Amino acid sequence: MQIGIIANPNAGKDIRRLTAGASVSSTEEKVAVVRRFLAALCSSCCPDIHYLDDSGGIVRSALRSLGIQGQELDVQSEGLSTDSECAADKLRGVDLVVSLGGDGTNRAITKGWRDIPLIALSTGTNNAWASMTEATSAGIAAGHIARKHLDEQAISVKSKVVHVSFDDNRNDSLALVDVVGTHDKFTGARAIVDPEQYAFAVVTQADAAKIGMVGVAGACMQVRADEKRGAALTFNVENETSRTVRTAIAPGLVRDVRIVSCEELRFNQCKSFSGPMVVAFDGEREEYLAKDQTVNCVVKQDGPRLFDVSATLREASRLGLLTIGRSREVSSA
Amino acid sequence: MDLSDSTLLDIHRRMVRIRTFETEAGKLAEAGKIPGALHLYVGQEAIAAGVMSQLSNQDWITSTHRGHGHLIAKGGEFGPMFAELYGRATGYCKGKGGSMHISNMDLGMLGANGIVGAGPPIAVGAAFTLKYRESDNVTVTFFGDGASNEGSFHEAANMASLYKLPLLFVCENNGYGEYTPQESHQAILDVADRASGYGMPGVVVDGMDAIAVYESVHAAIARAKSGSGPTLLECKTYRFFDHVGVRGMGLAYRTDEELAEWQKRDPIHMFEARLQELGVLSADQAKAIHEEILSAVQRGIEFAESSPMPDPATLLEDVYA
Amino acid sequence: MKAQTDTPGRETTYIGAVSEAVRSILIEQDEAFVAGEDVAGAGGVFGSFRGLLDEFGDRRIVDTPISEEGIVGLGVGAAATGLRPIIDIMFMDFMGECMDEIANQMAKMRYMFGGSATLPITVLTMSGGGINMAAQHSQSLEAWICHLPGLKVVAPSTPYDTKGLIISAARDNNPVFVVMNKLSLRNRGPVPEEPYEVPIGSANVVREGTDVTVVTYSRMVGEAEKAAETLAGEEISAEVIDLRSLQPLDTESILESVRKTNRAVVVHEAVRFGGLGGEIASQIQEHAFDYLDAPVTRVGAPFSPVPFSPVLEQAYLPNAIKIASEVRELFS
Repeated sequence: MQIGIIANPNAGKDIRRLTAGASVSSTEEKVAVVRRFLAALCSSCCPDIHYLDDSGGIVRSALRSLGIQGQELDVQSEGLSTDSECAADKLRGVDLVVSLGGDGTNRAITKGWRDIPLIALSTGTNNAWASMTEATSAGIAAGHIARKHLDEQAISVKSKVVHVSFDDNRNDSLALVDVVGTHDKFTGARAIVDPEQYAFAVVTQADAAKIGMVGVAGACMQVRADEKRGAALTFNVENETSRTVRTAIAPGLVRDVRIVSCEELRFNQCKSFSGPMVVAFDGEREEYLAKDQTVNCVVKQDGPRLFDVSATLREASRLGLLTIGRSREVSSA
Repeated sequence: MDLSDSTLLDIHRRMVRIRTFETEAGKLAEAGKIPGALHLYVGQEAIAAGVMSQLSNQDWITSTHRGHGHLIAKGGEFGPMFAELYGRATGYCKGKGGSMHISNMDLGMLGANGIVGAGPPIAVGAAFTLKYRESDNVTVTFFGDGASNEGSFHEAANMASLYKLPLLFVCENNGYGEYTPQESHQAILDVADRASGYGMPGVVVDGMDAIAVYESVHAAIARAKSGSGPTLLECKTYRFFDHVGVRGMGLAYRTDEELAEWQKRDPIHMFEARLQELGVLSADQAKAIHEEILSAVQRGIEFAESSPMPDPATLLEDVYA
Repeated sequence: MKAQTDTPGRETTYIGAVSEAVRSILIEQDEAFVAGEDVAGAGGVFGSFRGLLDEFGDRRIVDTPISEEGIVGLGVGAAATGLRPIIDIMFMDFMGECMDEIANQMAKMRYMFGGSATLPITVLTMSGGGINMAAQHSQSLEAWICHLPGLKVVAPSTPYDTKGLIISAARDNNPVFVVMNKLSLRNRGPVPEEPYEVPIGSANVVREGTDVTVVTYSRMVGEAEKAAETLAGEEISAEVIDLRSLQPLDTESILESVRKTNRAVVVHEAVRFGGLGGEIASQIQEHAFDYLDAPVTRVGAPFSPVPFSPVLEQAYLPNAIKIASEVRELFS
């Protein structure tokens, strides 16, 4: 049984701590999360653990404190998002990977191994993709998932991905939740905090119960994580606003967003947008698009297999797998 | 955030002014023309520029031993700055402070400081004055990763948060406390983590990106002015020159490869490249700005070198008011 | 100079004089505020600020965390930017916690900045033993701060001088330490109701004499006066000088007296070795050597931490008996 662990020390530290009052996720807290996960995982099995020796020493510290041996991946960590990407690439073939970070971290991991089997432990800023899960429960669930004795369909979702290409020689990119064009001139502090700057968005989900662009889209329509479609939105064109929605664009930030259009995007249907603008992926401004440049977005369902910890544990309980020292048959009484 | 061209050019100019001044000062120090020790700011320009482009002379700052960049970005003029480094009577401190104590009260600059960690408590006092007077201004205290280990930082952070002072703690984490790497002087990866112990937000900022700094500072100033209190901004950066001087004492505490990696993210080069893409600044215009600033620096050096030495009779002046 | 009291009959305690002085400054100066540990709600652990919170509010009477470096830094920064802080360091012993802000910032900022910064800070602090507070709450560390160019230091012995020196300190545009004495807090003495100044840098001849000059300050002034009374019965006429101000030092008043009496003993509660007595004795010998009939001697605490046990503490502290004994040596 092979389990990979990637923790992102940089997650949960950005400007949203300030603009949105988002929770601070200290490195020490991350060590504690990974420690809880490992303690639970190793309570019932002894998997081979392969880990990224991240620049914060998160996994190393957690392993050491539990006296558990792990195998360090051959990745020179530089404190950048490429650390997670390279680590995921090196983990190809393991039974399950657990990630610690936000949507941005999981996106980097997906870039390294697109259909990775994943449990995502959220550090809790603005995560539309992974839901909040207690690491201890995730540890127990991980053991059952890695043993592969549960019905995968019942306990996981095949994730959608926005595939992004440019009309110049730039590398293709992707997002798990949203690709957003903004009228900012700079990538700056990365997070998107000003809805006045929104230009377009392509989302894999639309859910009014979530925050960020998924919530904005969710104010207009519903697209579940397992539905075979996405949505595309445009914003802030003078005199063309079709509706204004008041929604949580980030934790703690409720703003009015002027929507010009919001429409379904079928799988493999391409949406193209032209610059000048800055393009953000899963909430972080990253690429510049000049006036004559174009970005193309296509939604497909070829991303990570994201395991649902709650569903896994319920399924394990139903099958009597959580009972020890007796037969698997559990009285229904 | 929507930044005007004039703001962008202002940030650029502040960075180039620092780079040019420090580069020439480094040459003069190595040529033995400037007495004492110089701690140069090259590599960290995006921080001073990103902060100071949002401050006025009525906003206060406290600085560090690496303080020239802060004073230049706050509006310091080359002539009296070089004169101070040369120890001349026309220097900002009449030759009594030198590089490590260079200051200008009229510009709201409460001094470089030779004592690591001494600035934050003083900044608490300056911010206290602003609050006492119900002013709409802010105070910014600059300090390094090394200073974040001093008790003074922790006392100041606690007091600023307790009193909800309009204060920004800007940590310039250049990875080294003098010659000791961060991993050898603190058990944490991010100084920003320390904020939570004092009830204020802590944010990690790319200190090589002037706009990342600008946006973060903008939000922290808004928080300060709203009466919500201080913010800790940890700007990750790197010093391109040594701890002291340009090549320093030749201590083998970091590698050429590490320096080269950081130099790929030179804050001025990255910013100029983007300004060109935006059509805000052409390569020719950038070149002209560099040349104009270099000649201003040279005039500053000439001013200093032709300035009189302090009269020994002034030795005991200004000990007391 | 003899202390003058313009409303004879009105008396207050030493600590009451502190309150009166601070209150009068807060009324007089809008830029003045008090900051320190337990100064607001509690009114100061010695009662120095009782009632001030009610009268002036928490904008001007500011409780601080137990963070001496932060408190002094607050004073330095606030003073440099235009306020006139009155900073309370509860026990002088706590200067160890804030010596950088005192020595490297407060004392030097004006000079380092070429005169562009002005630091009108008053630091109130308590020194001295005698109340069984042991080694870390009983010291007399005035020599530390008198050694720092840029600071002024005063050490009042009477309620009258306490009020006048605090008012002078708060009106001065320099950092001034007012080193008060814990054992003197309940001493009563005449104190006018109106604000008045006792000039910084001016000593006070509290008892005139012709045979020997006892130079002292703070609580030791009272002990020296008692010794002088005893010596008077032995045909020795001692003049007692209360320095009041330690930095700057009123050297001229000392020399004037020594030129008259031809003998001098310097007395302080601080440890004798490296204390101010050495400086004063040296100045007397430099400037009045020809007038001296005997070496200038010193009375001070022995080279030991202040002990806890009342018996040991009394053995440690200088007093009238030890002063009288030292004076007699000059005539033997």
